[in-house]
Amino acid sequence: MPRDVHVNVPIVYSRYLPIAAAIDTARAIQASGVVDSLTVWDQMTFFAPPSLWRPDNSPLAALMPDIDSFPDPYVVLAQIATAVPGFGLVTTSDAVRRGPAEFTQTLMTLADVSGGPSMVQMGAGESKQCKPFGHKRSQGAKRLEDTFRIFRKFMDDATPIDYEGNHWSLQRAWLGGARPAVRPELWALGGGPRLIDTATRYGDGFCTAAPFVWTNPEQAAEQIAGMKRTLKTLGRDPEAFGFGLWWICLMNDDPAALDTAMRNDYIRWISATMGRFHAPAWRAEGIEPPMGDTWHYATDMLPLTYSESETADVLARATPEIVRKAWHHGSPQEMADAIAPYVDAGVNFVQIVDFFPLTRPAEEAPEGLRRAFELAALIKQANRVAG
Amino acid sequence: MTNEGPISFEGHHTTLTDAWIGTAKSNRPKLWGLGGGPRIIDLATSYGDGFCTMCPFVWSSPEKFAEERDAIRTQLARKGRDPDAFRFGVWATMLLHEDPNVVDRALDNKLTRWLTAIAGRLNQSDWDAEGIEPPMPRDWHYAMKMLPLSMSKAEVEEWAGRATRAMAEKSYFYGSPAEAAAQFRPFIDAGVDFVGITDMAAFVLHPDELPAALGRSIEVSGHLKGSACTQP
Repeated sequence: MPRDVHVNVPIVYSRYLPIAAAIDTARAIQASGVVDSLTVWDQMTFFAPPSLWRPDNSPLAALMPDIDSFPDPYVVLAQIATAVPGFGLVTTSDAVRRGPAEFTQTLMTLADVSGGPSMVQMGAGESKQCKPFGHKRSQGAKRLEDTFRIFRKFMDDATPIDYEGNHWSLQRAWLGGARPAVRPELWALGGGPRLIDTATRYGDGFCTAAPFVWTNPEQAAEQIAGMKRTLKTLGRDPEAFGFGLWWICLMNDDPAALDTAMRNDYIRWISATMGRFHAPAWRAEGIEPPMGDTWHYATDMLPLTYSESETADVLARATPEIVRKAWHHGSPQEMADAIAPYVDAGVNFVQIVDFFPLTRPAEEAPEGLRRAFELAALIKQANRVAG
Repeated sequence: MTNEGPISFEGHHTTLTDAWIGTAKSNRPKLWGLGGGPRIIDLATSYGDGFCTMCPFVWSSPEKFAEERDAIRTQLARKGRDPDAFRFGVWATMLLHEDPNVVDRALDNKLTRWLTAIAGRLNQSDWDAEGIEPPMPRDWHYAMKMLPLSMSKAEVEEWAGRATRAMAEKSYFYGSPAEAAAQFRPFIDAGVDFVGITDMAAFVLHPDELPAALGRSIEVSGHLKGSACTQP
């Protein structure tokens, strides 16, 4: 079915870089004319042990002493907003690290500063973002429900609100009567029945990653159809709900370059630990789960706890087959062809997450961005042809 | 801020275990204590870069500030820190206007009186030392008791009415920018080295007067720095 597909490109920004680098990239993304929004991820640390941050794994290591100096996304997005007014801004988050009222205030402020569409994709939390920093990841799903319900109450009601929830009680809570001209959206990010239940009851959309979570379009079609049925049962309009996909890929026209990228330790680490968030998904594909049957990236990954030998052990489990299955890989055209069935299944938001540039020198970054634009244009074009 | 690697911490409410947010920190931000009372001052002198409070809401006279400053510097020295590297700041509440009639009206304005009643002296018993009966109970503190949405209109009116003109005059530096700066100058002479100019007149003026109100704050800053300023 023809539909408008929202295309998003992330900006991987470090506190080691000048803010001008993020702004220049944001301007380039807006100027492409084929991308609707950009994302600055909300991360505390990266996905891999710091010991892997070496020039032989990423030439960017010569530029930045570590890859873990992530920024506060809202500060960076506010700065970006002044450079690309009206352009779509997205970040990710969880409900554990920020209180729901403060989060709502921040998102409304970002929407005001931007003047354009803004969105937060919020998950149930990851251990690596929570446990080291004194937060309880185990509270993630219930806090997520609280945040979604409180956000919705604040957005729908300009008078003081009361709320009795899982972890939060609000009494006569008021953030003033001002509301953004363009209402910010709150989507659920991840998977699992509780998160999807929260999304369909209180959210504006649901997003997950492929192939890390959705391994094929059929799976996406089944889940999307299920959510649409639920939305209808809840008296909500399924066509007003967003279905998003993070397209996890290694993108290049040269198969030899892709082969090289797939031998990179970073790529192999991510393949073993995140290739399928839910370990049994590997077994369903006839593959021995590299991290064991009970492993889940979100609840088990603590990158700073791995010794050198443990890191080597994990890397050894990333077989070529696992790496190839953990990433969509190919040219922009091949990626567009692979995305099309997901769009047919109902996906209407695609974030292009290409890790290939991470394995290449900084001077090649513009080429990585160009490939993202090429893919974005192909997605848009396919949508126009279909329409 | 002082550690390059992962940190662990066991505190009152937060436990960190190998917590790491990378090493990038080229422009070190400052963290000051803000408020009053012995515990926050102890935290500021143990771990902070400075201490800031309101003036005259908390530090009501240069003498009182000088006394507190001496005590804080003594604490710093006792803790092995350099007192001269520690900063002392205030948010100075002012009512600024060249026209005495406007200042007069601002001092009588209900919003001004409301603020005077609840915060003119953040420790209500501080009014006693000035020979004034506190407008709120002596154990009432703005930070712990104020819930503005829980009050009826009648209560708001009644509270605002408790603040007298004399209290309002003691709660703000008021008058023209030159006059207010002259009133505040003794605090700088006593060692204040950060001033947040908080002109409350801006809240009671007509919106189209706001650019001029900003100009008055800038003018105060110019007087305090002893230099000419550019008006907006």
